[in-house]
Amino acid sequence: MKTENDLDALIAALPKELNPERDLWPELEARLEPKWQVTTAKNPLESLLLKFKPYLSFAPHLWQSASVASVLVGVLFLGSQMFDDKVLLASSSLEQRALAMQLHYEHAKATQLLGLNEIHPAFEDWQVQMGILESAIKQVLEAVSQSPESDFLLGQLRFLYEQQQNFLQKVVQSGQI
Amino acid sequence: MSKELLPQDEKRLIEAAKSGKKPAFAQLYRLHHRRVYALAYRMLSDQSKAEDICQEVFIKVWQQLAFFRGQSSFSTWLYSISTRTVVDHWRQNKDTLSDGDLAVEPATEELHDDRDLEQLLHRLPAKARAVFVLFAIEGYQHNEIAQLLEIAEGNSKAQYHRARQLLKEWLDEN
Repeated sequence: MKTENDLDALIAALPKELNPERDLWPELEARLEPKWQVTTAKNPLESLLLKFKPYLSFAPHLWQSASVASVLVGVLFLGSQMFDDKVLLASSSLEQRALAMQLHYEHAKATQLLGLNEIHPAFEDWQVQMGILESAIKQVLEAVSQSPESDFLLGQLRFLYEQQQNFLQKVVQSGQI
Repeated sequence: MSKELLPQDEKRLIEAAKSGKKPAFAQLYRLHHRRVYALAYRMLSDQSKAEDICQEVFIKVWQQLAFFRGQSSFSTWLYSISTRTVVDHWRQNKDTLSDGDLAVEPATEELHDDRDLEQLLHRLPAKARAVFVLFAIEGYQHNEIAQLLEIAEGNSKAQYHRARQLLKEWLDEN
């Protein structure tokens, strides 16, 4: 009669790895499309994001700097470039879609920030609030890179960006009243 | 078993593979494919499907490698892709895999210990086998398994208990 301990010992002895009966590499190698290299090296999402990454995240000190206008114009330009590339979006992986979403909302955010004049005192800590949401967004983006097939994370990302967008809209409108 | 690789060597391989160098990617494949194959074979009990899935996983890895930022280890990232791919296939095939497998006749030849268990795994009903593999071999928790297989956490625990009971009975028969 096998005891629970006997079974546990057998389970622990099972190898983590098994050898396929045939070599799968030659077939696999033939299926690795060289276009991937082109996609990676010239992927506009990736290259543009890397190039302009420092400007894509909200940063209060940037907003106060003299270069903010050019940064926002850059982001606006990037956003419009990204969404012209419908082929890329249609065929992209979840992680690419997350990047596209990031650019889309950063573009929208930049547009909103351009309309920002006076701010109602009720929103005096708006930068802190934006920073909290930004930090949550960064965490979800990190999670996307680790779980590249989780649609749930993409939903979370969209939710957080929409929260940020709605909040910013209220901030902008507060100065227009 | 896969050979251990120093982290800096693996990093070099990853960077080379990212830039499109297939020999570097081949080395990464050689290091990790056995574990991917083991998961697919044990979950689906189908050698041919397991081979296809193993290739599919590495095609995904090749395509998504540019987005691997090293925030987790490469193996964690790769096995996460593997698990999701295997589970997707399991879900698509679960109706054809499901509980009828118990009707399979027990092996008549004398079996021994861990080889026994390896073979007996494939006699388990599909759901019990999937839960057993993910929990006992791959180290997932029941709440994670419940999410992956789209079942209740209690169901995952019950399936695991059922799998253990069946395995013990079958091992006693030998």
